[in-house]
Amino acid sequence: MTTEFDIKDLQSNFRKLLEIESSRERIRAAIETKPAICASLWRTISELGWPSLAIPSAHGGLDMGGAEVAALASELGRSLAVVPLLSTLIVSEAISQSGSESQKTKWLPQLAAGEAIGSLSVTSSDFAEAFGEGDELSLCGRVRFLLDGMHANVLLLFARTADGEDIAAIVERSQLSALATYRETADPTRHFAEVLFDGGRIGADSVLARGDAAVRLRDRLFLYGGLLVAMESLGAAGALLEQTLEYLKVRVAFGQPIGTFQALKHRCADHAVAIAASKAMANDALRQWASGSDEAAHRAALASAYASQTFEAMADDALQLHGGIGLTWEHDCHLFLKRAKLNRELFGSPESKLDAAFAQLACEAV
Amino acid sequence: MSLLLQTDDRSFEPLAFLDDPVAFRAEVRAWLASKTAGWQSVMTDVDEEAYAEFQRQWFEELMKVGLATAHWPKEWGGIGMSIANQMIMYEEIARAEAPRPSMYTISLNHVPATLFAFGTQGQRDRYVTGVKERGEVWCQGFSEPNAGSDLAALRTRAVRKGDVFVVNGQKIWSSMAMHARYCLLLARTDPEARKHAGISYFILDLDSPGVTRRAIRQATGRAEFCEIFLDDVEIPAESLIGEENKGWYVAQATLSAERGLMIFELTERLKHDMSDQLRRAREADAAWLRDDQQRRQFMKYYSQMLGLSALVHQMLEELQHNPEMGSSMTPVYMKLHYAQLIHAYTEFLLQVGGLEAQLHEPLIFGTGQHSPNRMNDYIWSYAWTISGGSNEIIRNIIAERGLGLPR
Repeated sequence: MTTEFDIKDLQSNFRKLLEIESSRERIRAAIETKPAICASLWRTISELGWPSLAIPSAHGGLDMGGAEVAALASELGRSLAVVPLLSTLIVSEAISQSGSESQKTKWLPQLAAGEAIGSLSVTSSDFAEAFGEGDELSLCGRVRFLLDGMHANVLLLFARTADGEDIAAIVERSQLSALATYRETADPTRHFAEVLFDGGRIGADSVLARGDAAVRLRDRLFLYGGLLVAMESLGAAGALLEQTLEYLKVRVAFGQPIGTFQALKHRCADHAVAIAASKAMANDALRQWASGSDEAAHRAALASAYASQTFEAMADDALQLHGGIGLTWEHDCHLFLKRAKLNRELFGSPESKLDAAFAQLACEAV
Repeated sequence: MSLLLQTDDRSFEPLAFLDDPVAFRAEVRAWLASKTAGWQSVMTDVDEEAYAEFQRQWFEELMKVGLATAHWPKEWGGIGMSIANQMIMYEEIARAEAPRPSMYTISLNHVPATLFAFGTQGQRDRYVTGVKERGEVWCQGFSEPNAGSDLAALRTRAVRKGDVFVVNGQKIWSSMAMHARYCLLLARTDPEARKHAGISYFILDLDSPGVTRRAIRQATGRAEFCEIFLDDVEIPAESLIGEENKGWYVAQATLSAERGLMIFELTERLKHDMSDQLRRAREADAAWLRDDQQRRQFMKYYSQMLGLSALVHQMLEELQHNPEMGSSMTPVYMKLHYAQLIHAYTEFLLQVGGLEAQLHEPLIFGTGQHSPNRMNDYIWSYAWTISGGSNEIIRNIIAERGLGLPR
């Protein structure tokens, strides 16, 4: 078992590498060539086994748990690294949890090695239409928000038949004639693609789950995705707070560092408290998710809603506290602010998460 | 007259089950059920005297089963109950909505923490034993009319004359001082020194000649706070705690002695209250459940409560590995977070309660932050945002000591 100490060590290794390989200059270069990923960074972290963190050792992974993945997500958020890791981690988790032996054997070693890149849609209403008899399925329709969709060669798709049966499928991109189109969002460090399915067949070996099992897989995966995004958001919020504090210490106005002004100090204190509480809660929610506790669903939903609120508030205030310089393209404040606004919408908005958690709590309260 | 119920004559021995968490929890729960069921109706619309008597009886019951001082380490004469067991105890206390022994907060926490860190053996023998065996009530004499957030500006003077210090001045906001026998007093002993460096820490016997106490009625209508006037009061030199002029240091070192588990208990109470409010709102089909904004607001407070709870758990875990905790800012974060949350949440309840919630409701003494009287709970939440370091002072501390922003 990994101790807390090991995790801190691990996290500091993630950070050190990203500070060099995903430096501000490299992020800026990636923005100029979007939607390209940082290919050299992807190679390096693949060699180091980052995509394989939570994959079972039998399939070429490091077999680590939620805490390690959380530490990784947090550092990715801190650096705004332009790599398709989050999507790959979530797709790997789906296959580890619901895949057949042959699906695992086929995909997990490739995903672990970074040779395969995963993608899934981040919105709950994104379904393809499935046609066909038995195991012979074809897909039609539009899936609008595939995270890292244009980089991926493995797509995790959710589809629905005309009878309303849910299907979760893991599909190799090369098998499809469908076209993936980059959908440029305001956040230039994260990429989405739209895929239009034109009735192409998917093999029977692509189906991960059907019916209730597919619904359960999707629910569970969205909670997991929401938690990883929460970790990422809190890593980013922590970085922004540090950066803002540094600025308040050196920026002089009215003859003194503006960090001496109470009105500004107090806002930083509030952000520090919100970040600490959101982090503790997200860690707790991830533990509950891993243990499959009854409370896992509403804890995960609330933790990700709370993290989103914390990150948005921090990103909003960071720009304001930096003043005019914070409003320039050259400064990173807008990158974090755009990431905060983007992250809030991934795997369900905070509002939908609060509503879902409420529905669950209200059932228990009667 | 006994103010507590005796529904079960069997004697309880929770401390006999410390090695078995399940049995310990069950015993604490059974004991609480036998003593505290319905205490709120006994404490409805009473006066401060009756409340003090209730507190004495409750303290006595806690002492009988050894729970009042169970958190004391062995060197204080306690049993050094593990943090895990303390958490169980407070979870059960919160679940039972048991009264808080608020009249004894200083006696049970600050007095032993201060005396064991800085007191003499004689002081420990006399006063810690006094709390344990005679239930002596203590209050705190720190704030003054012109020294609240800026505590070090205090002006109460103590002048040494032979074997005594002669004290003149005025203290304010001393909770439950009307019922206390002793007071932890800060007074200025060197008016020439820098303001933090001229303060000493004393034990004041409130029965001394020259001490006058006056209750202050609070905005809630209750009168827990007091003013203490000191006119040529003589304090024997042996009642000085620590060195002369080192009082500020003594006070700083012992102020937040028990904050972790106190906030744990309060968070548990808040958790129960939120579940309870939700259940009752559903039973009454309250309108706010159908209002997206209000319902989500409630869920945000619920999330913040879970965040606070996770933070407290994380700190208590750290505390088990590292009892000193060094310079951790977490207790300060917790205080600010709780204060803001309890204030916003009680305001929310008042608001969704509409005009009905503002109709006169008799006060129930001793309910802390959660009672049927929403205006009372809301007004009393300011006790958290103002006392023990106002939110503004706490933010300064976080920003300067925690985040390194310049003074």
